[in-house]
Amino acid sequence: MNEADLVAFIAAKTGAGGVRLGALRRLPGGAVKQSWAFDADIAGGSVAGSQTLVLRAPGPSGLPDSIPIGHEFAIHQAAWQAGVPVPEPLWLAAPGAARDAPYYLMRHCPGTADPRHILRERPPAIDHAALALDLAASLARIHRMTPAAIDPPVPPADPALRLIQTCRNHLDQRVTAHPVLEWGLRYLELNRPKPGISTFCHRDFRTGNYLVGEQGLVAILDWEFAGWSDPHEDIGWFCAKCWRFGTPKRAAGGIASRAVFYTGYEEAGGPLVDPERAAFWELAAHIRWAVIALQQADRHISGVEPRLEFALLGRRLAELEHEILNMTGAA
Amino acid sequence: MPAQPDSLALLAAARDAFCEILLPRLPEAAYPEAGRIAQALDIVLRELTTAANRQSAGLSEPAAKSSRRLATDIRAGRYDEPGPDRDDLHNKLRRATAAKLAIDNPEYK
Repeated sequence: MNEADLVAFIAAKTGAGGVRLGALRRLPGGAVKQSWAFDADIAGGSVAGSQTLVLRAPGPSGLPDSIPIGHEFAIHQAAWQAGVPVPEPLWLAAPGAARDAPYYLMRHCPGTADPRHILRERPPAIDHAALALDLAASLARIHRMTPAAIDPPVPPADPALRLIQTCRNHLDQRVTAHPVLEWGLRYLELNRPKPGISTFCHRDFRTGNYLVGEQGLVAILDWEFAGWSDPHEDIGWFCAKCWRFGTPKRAAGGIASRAVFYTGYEEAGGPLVDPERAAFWELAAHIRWAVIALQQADRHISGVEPRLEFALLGRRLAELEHEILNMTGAA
Repeated sequence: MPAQPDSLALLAAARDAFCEILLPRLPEAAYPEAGRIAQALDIVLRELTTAANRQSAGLSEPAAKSSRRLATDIRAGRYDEPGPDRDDLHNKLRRATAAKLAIDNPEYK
């Protein structure tokens, strides 16, 4: 990232007379896009003062389902306007607007997204019950959003079938076949519910993708997969065992029971949760995550973005397949 | 006694040295990546040990059954109905998955 360019961009957006930046620090998390925090001293203009900002930018390689950064910024703005807890989005540098564009800036929110910290029970423990209710209410609010910048602009006729086809399309491009994933996809195909309502969905709503501070939930992060779907996809993703980080008995994100989360979601105005439909989407979550893990490993294997973290994700497949067999009566 | 340490012994020694000597001296910010390095070394050690055990027992690598064919048949619906074929499929999938899990994450519950 060219510092002078970033200074010029911030000055142009704020009307500041002077901007001084600290070093960029890479923040953990994010499937594809990268987030960098930095301190900024802004003299004059619309946001004068010392503050910490976050720059969000595409990584060197991508995943097929990750939306363009401009769409993500528009969705992030829509979430902010809808009252969903998110870091305040600031300005988009559209492609061509700056040397390192596209990227966008947001305000930094203090807190942690680290599941090991959020889920631990020893003091100072986070109030998991309150956190579960805040997350449920946030998800209900997300599902009421109607942002204009979604591509495609209309919901799929059958979100479950779309997921099955997307996964199969990816598996067809691989050198190695994955019979367990094929079994899981066939099971989904034969047991999928009739299409119900579709809403705007986050599609990566899980522990690890929200910030928690001393007072509880701070912000929902990582909107790069957002789009239309069955709202049960988000509920199933949140409750899937693969996102409980070693606390399998607390089904809802490792922090609460499904019942607490479902009830909180409905009481916050979300549509009624159909437990069978949610269970279907929990299985779908394991299969979709398995496919994403393979895609992440490809980023390392291809040499485009070699990182041990990505390589190890490919080795998560066995545990996901183990769960898929358990959930489909094959174990 | 072998004339020199084999690859497995070297790797095990490197893993132990990393985890016992270097890792405790690293700054906290380096723990996640250090943990991933230890995890990767553990996976490779288990994989090499499994291969070595199979070799010393005179077992060849399982014939590369056409998993592509299996995947195609599953998608085409050949195993949709309960019965011996589907039971056989489940047994194969279970065994293959258990073998992978034993290497990649043997403590997974």
